[in-house]
Amino acid sequence: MKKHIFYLIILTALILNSCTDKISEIFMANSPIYMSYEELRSAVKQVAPQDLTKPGKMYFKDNYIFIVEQMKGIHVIDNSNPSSPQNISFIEIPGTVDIAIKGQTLYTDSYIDLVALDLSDLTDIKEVYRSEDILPYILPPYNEDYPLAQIDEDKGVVIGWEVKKVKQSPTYYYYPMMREFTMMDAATSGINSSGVGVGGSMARFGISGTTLYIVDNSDLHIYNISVANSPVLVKSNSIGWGIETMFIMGDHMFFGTTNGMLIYDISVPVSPMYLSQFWHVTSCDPVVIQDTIAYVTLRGGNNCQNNVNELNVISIKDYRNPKLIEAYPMVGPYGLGVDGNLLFICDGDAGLKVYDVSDPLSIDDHQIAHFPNIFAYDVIPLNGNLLLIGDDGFYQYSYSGQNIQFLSKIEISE
Amino acid sequence: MKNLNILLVLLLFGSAVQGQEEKSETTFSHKGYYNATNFGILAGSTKNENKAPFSFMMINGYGVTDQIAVGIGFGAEFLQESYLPLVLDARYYFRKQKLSPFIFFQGGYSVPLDNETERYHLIYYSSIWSGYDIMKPKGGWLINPGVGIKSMFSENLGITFSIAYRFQRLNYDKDGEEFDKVLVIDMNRLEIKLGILFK
Repeated sequence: MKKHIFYLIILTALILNSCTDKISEIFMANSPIYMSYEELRSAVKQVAPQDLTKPGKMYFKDNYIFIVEQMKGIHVIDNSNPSSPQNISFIEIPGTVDIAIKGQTLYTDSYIDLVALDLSDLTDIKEVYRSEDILPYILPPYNEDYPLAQIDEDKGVVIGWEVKKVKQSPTYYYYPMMREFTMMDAATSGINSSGVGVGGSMARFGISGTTLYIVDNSDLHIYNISVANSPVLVKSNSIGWGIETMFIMGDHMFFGTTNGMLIYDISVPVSPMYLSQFWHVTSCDPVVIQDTIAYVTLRGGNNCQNNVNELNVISIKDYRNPKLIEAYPMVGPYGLGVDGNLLFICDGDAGLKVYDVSDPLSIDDHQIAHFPNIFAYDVIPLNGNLLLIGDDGFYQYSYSGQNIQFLSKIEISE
Repeated sequence: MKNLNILLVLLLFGSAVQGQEEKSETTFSHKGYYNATNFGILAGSTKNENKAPFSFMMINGYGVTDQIAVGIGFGAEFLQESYLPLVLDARYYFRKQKLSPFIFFQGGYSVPLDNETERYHLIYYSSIWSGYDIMKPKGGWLINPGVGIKSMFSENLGITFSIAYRFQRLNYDKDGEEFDKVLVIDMNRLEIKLGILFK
């Protein structure tokens, strides 16, 4: 009898311990659609040219333009004749948002992987390298009227969403989100004079010499690409949250954050050294750099959290102490571009303005051209060829001083 | 595994009480009207928010044979909110004697008595509740299979002791909004009760 009571007590204790309440939620949610890792890692292939629909970062190489179709792949445009650019092929790369090119090797992201493609034969572009699981697990844009359902990373990467009723236990986990593409993202794309572009993505790529830098929203991954087809991960460092853009100029690396700019010295490529920070306003601030001057347009209203419309000119002569040297009022500036002493500013409804910036302290006195009928989100000047990014396509112009002449247009499909 | 544990307890409990009943030889019929009023707790893991809420249940039923009875019941339970459980009850007495083990099964629905509730800590990690929302309890269904022992002091009055597995679902809507967001709590509890039996 005593033995029975003893067992009874033990079993009761066990049962009580297992009598745990289970909490669930039932709700309409964005339910993830997965692509398995196996599928992801065998998906890269070159196919027939496709229409541009959500273009992201662009990269010029020789006579070709590589345009990222966000999350889908890369368009290859033959721009030998800027008056008649030819869309020659498309490289399917699921999850791609940014690219960088070194020699004959193109580096890009494919969701969580770094991928390298051999461009030596543009009719037969192949994957030659893949570093798996190096980038953050990102999620594509979703219907913001509904919350996100639980994500099971073991099932693969999320390539889309289906709004449906789900039942799940309450959970919370932070995921970086792919921002919905806007023309302003394209506007911050393009290239700067170092040939390294910036784009609206979670991962940012930049190359300096034989070093490939990839920054996600918090970490900087440094690869040695001395052997272009087989990058070697040197190290990954945490650099803080809110990194939006990265650009490299000589021995310096600039990070555009949500509310400012960080400057690093990369004279020792594998050991970036923090120099300074310049806190300005919001994430809606395109930046271009020419020599020791950084030009920043601040646009107010909309989502940009401030009411200032102006051009800021910042001296970065002393990288440890960036200084605002002048500010000029604008109407509603979007992107800007600089080539030599020519500064192009897309000033919203006021159109395209061209300034001579040989004297940064009197830029407004040196407006050399104004095209009120050219509306664009951004402008990329490169060796006499001007790429204007409008809301329906990419326009190419030739420019020389005050003369700007239309050359061609690459349509963006709906 | 959980259900297996419960079954083992039921069997052990049955065998433990069996030896004590050998002396009871008087035949007792369970036919006819009865009222069973039970008080107890719904015990569970210490991880639960409400570890051992009070439970009261009154069953009014009818013995259809000497050993089988069915009934309907209502009660009061004080979980995070107060509920009125409404159940159908069926039970089987193993012996036609004053002292008899029995098994029973109850199934029904708990009707909420409160119009609103706050469950901050439960929904802290929720993806749909802000953590400060007032929620509207909607109640939920329950099942309650168990085992017990009954001892009659006389032909009309006796006591019962019972242990049961209790599954209780509780649904909540966000108060004041008509949309498809529901919080569901599935309670798995061990119901331990004493009761008074009138016949």
